[in-house]
Amino acid sequence: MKSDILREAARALRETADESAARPDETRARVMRSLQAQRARRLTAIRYLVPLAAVFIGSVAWASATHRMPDAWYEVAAELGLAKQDAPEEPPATAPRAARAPAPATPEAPETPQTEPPAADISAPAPQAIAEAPEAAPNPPAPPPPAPPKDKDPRVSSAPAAPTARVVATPEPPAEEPPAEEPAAAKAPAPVDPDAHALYQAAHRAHFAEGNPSAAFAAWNAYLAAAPRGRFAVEAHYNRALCLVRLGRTDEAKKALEPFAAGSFGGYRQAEAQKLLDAMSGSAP
Amino acid sequence: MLAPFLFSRSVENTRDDDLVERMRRGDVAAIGEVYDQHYAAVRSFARRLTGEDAAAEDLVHDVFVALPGAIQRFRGGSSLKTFLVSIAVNHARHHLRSAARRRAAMERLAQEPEPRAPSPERELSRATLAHALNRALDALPDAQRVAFVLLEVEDRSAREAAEIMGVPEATVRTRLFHAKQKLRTLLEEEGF
Repeated sequence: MKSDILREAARALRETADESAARPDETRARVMRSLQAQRARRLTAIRYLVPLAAVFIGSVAWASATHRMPDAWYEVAAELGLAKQDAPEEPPATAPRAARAPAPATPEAPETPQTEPPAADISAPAPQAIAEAPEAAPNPPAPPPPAPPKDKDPRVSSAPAAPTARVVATPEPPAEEPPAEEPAAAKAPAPVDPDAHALYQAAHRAHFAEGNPSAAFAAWNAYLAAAPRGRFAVEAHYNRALCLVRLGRTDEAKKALEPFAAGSFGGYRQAEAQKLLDAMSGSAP
Repeated sequence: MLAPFLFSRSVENTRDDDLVERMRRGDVAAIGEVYDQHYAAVRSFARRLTGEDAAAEDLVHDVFVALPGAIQRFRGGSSLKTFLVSIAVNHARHHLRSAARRRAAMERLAQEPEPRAPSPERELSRATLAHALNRALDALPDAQRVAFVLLEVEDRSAREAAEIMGVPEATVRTRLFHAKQKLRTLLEEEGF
């Protein structure tokens, strides 16, 4: 009986629904209006979003290619296997700075603690000599070190004076001639030898940890030969130049530092290179 | 004897295929043609499901507005009409809620217009019964409501209902079973 009621109710619902007044024309007009509005919205979105997306993608690609992105970007890209690079996964000390070499504000770059170690370590060669300029001016400790420049770099000023003497005392014969590639080649990083990572670490160790300019010079050359356009090529060129200064190979050092001083690397180490050049010119016979 | 039927089926399928192809290319006129062909069927289902004229028209509107996007998923496994009804099922939730809320509010305010009976008493009882069933359907979960409307009100097969709802036939039958049980109880409480 209950089932009959339900069936009866279903039939009643069907019939009353069928008898209800439909408004096909009105609904059709609404549907067409909505479709046109939907289409217009889509076109508007395409007109604005596509160019915006293109600009965004282009900007990201450019920033990534010129190493202007935060370090985390490259780490994530490396983790995901999206970036082919020779750079170490955790670049030591100055590495990330070097990656951003073309940054416009040169003087600011060295202020970060990461760039500090190299400067302090190179002590003898350039920045240190410059830092000691005021004091060293009256009594130049030794002939080879660069002459004291007038402008004092507050960052480097804390560097110990001792290394200066070390420079003089290390007339070690030059390890080997640097490879012919010019620093400019480092402007555009490119994927290179997978051993470059290890070479970079070895050079970094020799330069900063062991403080052996001769070994460091050879190691930087090896790295640059393996990765002439590597992610840290700019930094390697600069460090190599510092090694030359420390080894007393002034002419070569000048030649290597000139591009930096001229701003060929977007201001990276420009001020320091200029000071080193000034210092070396002052001391040169 | 079957030739005319088969012939008309194949013509209909070809026409549907053509319309589907045009809709996939973004032809708005094709939507208009589909609307003209299938409005009655979709509206009828929508009205039976929601129990309200306005909600039914809104649901029909939503179905045809969603059609250009949904048609990309249409694989031709069913007829275009069945596909449209399945879109209606997927878009019905909001309209069912709205219609149920309106009915409940009307009752609370005692403004619910008594189903008018143009003439005999039988009409009055039929309209009253339909109204009671609509109220009872409001108390069901959407899935059970859809199953009941498809199978009991629209007299569709379990297979077709399963196709529309995108669930196995057994699930449809289970939903119908539970729906009937609840509806019986609710109608009984209403005094039927």
